[in-house]
Amino acid sequence: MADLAAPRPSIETGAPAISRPAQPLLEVEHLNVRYQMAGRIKAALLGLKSRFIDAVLDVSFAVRAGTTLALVGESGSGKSTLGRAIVGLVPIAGGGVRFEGMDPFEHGPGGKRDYHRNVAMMFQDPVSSLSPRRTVQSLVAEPYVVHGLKVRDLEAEARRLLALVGLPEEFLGRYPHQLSGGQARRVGVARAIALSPKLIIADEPTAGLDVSVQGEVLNLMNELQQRLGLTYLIITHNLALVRHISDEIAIMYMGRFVEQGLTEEIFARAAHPYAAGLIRSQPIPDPSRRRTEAPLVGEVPSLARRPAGCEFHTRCQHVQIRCRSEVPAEQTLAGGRRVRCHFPLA
Amino acid sequence: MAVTAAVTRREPASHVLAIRDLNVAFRTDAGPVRVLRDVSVDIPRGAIVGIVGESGSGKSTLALTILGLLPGNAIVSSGSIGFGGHDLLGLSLAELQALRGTRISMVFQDPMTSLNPVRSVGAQMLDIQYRAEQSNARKRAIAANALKMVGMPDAERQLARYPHEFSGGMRQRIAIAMSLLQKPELLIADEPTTALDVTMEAQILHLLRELRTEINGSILFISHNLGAVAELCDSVVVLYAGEVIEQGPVGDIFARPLHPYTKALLECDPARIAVATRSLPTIKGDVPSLIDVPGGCIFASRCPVALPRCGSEHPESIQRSPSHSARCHLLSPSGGR
Repeated sequence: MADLAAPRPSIETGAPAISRPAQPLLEVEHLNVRYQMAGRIKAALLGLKSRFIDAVLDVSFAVRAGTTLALVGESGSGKSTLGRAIVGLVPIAGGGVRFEGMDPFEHGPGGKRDYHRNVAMMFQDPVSSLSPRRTVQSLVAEPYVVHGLKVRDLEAEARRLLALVGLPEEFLGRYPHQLSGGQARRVGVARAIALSPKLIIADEPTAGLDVSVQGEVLNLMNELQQRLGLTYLIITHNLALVRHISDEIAIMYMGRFVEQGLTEEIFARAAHPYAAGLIRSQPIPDPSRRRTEAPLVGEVPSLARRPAGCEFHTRCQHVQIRCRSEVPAEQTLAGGRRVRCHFPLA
Repeated sequence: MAVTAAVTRREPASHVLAIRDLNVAFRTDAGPVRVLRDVSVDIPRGAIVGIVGESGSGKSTLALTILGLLPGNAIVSSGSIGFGGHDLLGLSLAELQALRGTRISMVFQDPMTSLNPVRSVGAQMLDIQYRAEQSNARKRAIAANALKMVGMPDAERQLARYPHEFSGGMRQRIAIAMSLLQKPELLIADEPTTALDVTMEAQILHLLRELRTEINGSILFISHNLGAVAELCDSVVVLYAGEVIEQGPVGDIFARPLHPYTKALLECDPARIAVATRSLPTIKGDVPSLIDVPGGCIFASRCPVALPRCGSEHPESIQRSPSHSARCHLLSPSGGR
């Protein structure tokens, strides 16, 4: 494997990456992201109550340095939007982000340049997020060029990064179409760690990979986390994986966090009925433990027509009268777990 | 239906489909890629058979071969597919078309691409019944009934809507309803839940199981998802690099797998690992080239228990019980020596 003692690229890396344990690396407070659905005229014609939909609603959380937080939810729950809002790819409508105690967006929506050096994004589907006309070397070295960083020897740097992600040197000259799914993910990881970031936001890092290969990518990410002290925000719908790779999880439903806490505790006993249903919906690879019915019935309601009261009440097995009218406030349970439910199960 | 093709081998009456020694290759510039080699699979009447394999194992090619939908560069060099007393490989295009959609139908992975976006659901469901000599009102009633069967609320009204107006899960329900319109004897479902969320996947798996009892048809369920196969299927066929390396009842495959590949695949599934771990098991190495197919066991290069013999001698399928078999030298009486 790679020699980590190798000199880092001659770039200004800023303050040393010493985490002050009292302060989380990333804090998100009451974050809102809204998308416009219709213009004023169309909204008036259709009689829409609001021209906007709230993709992310009142989300607050913190990630400690060196840990992994998994954002979990079904499609449309807002988990990818939240990840994009944190890096500044979609505008924030309310609330804020703090990175190492500072607001990265105080001077504009794009965020400061050194914030982008410290926070890297790994996109879904690396094969389509890698330009097909560029070699692995140029793809891996691209972050330096984008950030205008002077590196004496880009090729040596690319070689160092490939070694870090466990790819042999001869891959430098290859093109994305010559890579397998697992190899393309490794190139995606190499690009993400190129500028020695502190936080990596990974959107579905193993979606579409075979089960025998996804372990390789996750083991690599874990190894890099240990060696480089990385912090991960992993966005996924795969609960079976989350149990193994995350310290904490946050479960999203219709743009809100309905439950967040330690992975182990939530898997042992989820407090929110949606979290419990989602965990039980995972197919069990054991034919002797077949379920007789689907644990969660119905579908996610439209974000344009949010149900009154608790937004999950339309599918909740434990629904009571109060749930239909009163929005549950977030409450903290023993052990620090936070849940948005009038009648938590745990 | 006037089918005149010669019957090469008649499948037993208890089997709706009998695939024998099927070999399929794709012509490429680098030479023929042998994607399916000596594949034999039986689908008993009324059963749900799961085909499990990773990408490149040939599972989708198998489905396309059954339906006669292989691309132009495919060569079916040998084998037979017995269905209803005929060899599907010997049928003319017209004869195949008469079977497709009526006696064999298929559900694809992505319902957004398998449904026509510019025609209403009802119009598409009437199109499918073009052979039936019935009034349109009657066909509409049949279509609405099929939608009801797959759990679509307010079915009559939905006929006027277009695919984009439905969620992914509802679209897949519509695709399943369409595939069942003509009450086929065999339904081929190629990764029907892969594009769906887990909550929707659980609902669709449950639906397929219910439908099986209602329509009394057989289902060939193709998936890379071991959990979905365990939930749904009666028996399992494990494909690796174009070969059936193991097949048997679902309980045996999951509880007592015989082939080292099946064992490794099950070990890799994070859902089967009880204690949380940061070091997930993997299968080292790569699938071998299917242009120069290795002479020995196809899994030998990655097998943790391979013997010298495995590199040179291709293993026969060995029967462990009347219904459970695997291609592995370790199962032979000589223990692989």
